[in-house]
Amino acid sequence: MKQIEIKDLEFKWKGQVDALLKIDHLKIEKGKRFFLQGESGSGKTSLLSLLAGINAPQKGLIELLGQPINKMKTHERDEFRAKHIGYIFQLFNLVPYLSVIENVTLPCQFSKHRNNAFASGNNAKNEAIRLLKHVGLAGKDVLHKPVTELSVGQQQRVAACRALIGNPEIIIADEPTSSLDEKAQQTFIRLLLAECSANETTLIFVSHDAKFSHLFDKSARLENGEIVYTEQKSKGGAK
Amino acid sequence: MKFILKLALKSIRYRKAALLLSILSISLSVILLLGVERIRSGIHDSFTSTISGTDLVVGARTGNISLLLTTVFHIGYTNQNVSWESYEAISSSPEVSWGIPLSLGDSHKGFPVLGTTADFFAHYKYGHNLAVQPKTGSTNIEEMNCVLGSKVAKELGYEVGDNVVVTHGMGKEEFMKHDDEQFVVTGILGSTGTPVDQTVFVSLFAMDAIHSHFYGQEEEEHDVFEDVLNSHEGHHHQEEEPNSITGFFMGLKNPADILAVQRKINNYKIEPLTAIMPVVTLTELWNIVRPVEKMLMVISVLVLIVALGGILATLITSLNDRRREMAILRSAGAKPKHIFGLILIETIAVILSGILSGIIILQAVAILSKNLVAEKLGLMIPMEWFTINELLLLLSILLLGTLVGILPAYQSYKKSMSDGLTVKK
Repeated sequence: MKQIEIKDLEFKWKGQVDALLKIDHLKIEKGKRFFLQGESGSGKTSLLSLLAGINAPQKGLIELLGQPINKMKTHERDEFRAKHIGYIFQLFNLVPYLSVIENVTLPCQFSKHRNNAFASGNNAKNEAIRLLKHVGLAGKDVLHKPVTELSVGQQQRVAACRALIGNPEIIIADEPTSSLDEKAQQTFIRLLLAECSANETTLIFVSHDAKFSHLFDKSARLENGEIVYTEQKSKGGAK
Repeated sequence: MKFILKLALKSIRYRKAALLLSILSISLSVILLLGVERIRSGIHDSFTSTISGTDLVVGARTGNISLLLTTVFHIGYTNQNVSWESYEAISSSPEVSWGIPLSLGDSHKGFPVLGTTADFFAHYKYGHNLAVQPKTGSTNIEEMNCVLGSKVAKELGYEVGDNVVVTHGMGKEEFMKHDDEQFVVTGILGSTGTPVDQTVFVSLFAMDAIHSHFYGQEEEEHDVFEDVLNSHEGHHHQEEEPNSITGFFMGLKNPADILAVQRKINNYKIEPLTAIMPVVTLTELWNIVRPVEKMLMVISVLVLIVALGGILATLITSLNDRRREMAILRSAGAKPKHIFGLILIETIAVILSGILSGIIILQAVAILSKNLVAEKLGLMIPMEWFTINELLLLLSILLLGTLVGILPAYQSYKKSMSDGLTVKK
């Protein structure tokens, strides 16, 4: 079952003459993990903002979960994002004045859907603690620290928990490991992949560094605004 | 929106060091605005109720304000007096309930001496129908007794039983003392915040007895000094009716008669007289100082504008640093309207806490200094909760503040739309 589909897409920013993105076709099945490599300036952030429903393309179709989000109104896209998408940034993912748990449960505050996605009897706070435990952050010393005092690796793991809470169908990670050292990168990616697999979450993982691409079901490169599929060392199975 | 409110409060707490200055500047301007308004209305109230309960003030034909200044405030002189006969005739007319004769022109060490009768203490009212009461002693001004206003006693250090020498004229120079005419202080009045505090009260008859010749002959040109030298021996102390008085206060039986009686006096055939309604003329007099009052208000409003401008500057500079925070919130599902609400609520909360702390500080200062202000300035600053004026003032500060908050809120709304999830910083 396809979860993400892009057809004949063209996108440019206001004032640009040539299209920054030109994607004929991209399809990602439910629960698959998709790796996208691209140099800075290749348009990957623009692509992610289209997928997250922040911007709309001038041409073409973007379908998420079978719904054409490029045809939605701005507020409908906002609602869709809140409901179905988890997002992880490269750095500084956390709201500085909220606690670790408040940061993780943030999406539940903006989406009833994600707030009600837990097994009965469970609430957002317990779910947050459960997720934090999975990524090794449930210690009292971590939970009660101001988020600005966490290490970058810890912050990224908190961000992953936030993206995962309430079981969104799609997680978009925009260079989430670029600020981490090698060991922390490994840990982070393995944790993220494990969580996504457990929940059958579709993952789009963006990085300028291709070294982890073998851990994913499918990988591609953004070149001159076009998607170029790359050889899969393992698994395969997408498309 | 409940969550946004919570978010805004947490954000404020996180930024409290930076926001404290904004809160402080708002509370200072609230203190200034309310303080000025309160002092203004305090002065206005105590001024316009300098004399109350008196329906008409009568004197020789002159301007309304100058008659008020002479008789109520004891400032300046009248050129003409009112004859005792006219006073008697008018104050015994059927509409009149009581009359207080006033004789002015003498002083004691710079304080005006008022010659009057015991009726003054019975009928003169100030403020909200307050009577003039002695703090120590009595209000007996018969014979050679005198009663002092609170400020006179305080500044000159008089106590009951002391001797007071009256001087002719209003200067401090005592070149024309009636050395042998010493009055004895029988009472000292409580503070009223009116000209009564600065007045020495003596009996009209005693005063007239001392120098009836001054008033009697003033209408003709002559050398006062020579006159004194020639006839200083000639006065006597019997309670004789004076020839003339400076003016008189009057209370009517029925307030409905005021206009009619006023017209009758203004058209008095025997001598030219002026009757004024003190409340009306006090308001006229107040209007003279109104521009000053407005200036004070304008200055306070300017201070408020500066404070709001400061908040605006603080908010707008902080917005750039907060673009990432907005992107995070957006990525977690916040809509642009949530971002707008967050910034607006933060602004309003800052202004509200400024207003509240301002009010608290002002109330505290007002309560602590109430007695001091009443005693030193003779000013009763109203302490009741807010007047309509003050509430309107506070409301307009809040509205202005909200208006100020809309700008950065809209800016960050726009920014969060265009930034989306990308933040360069």
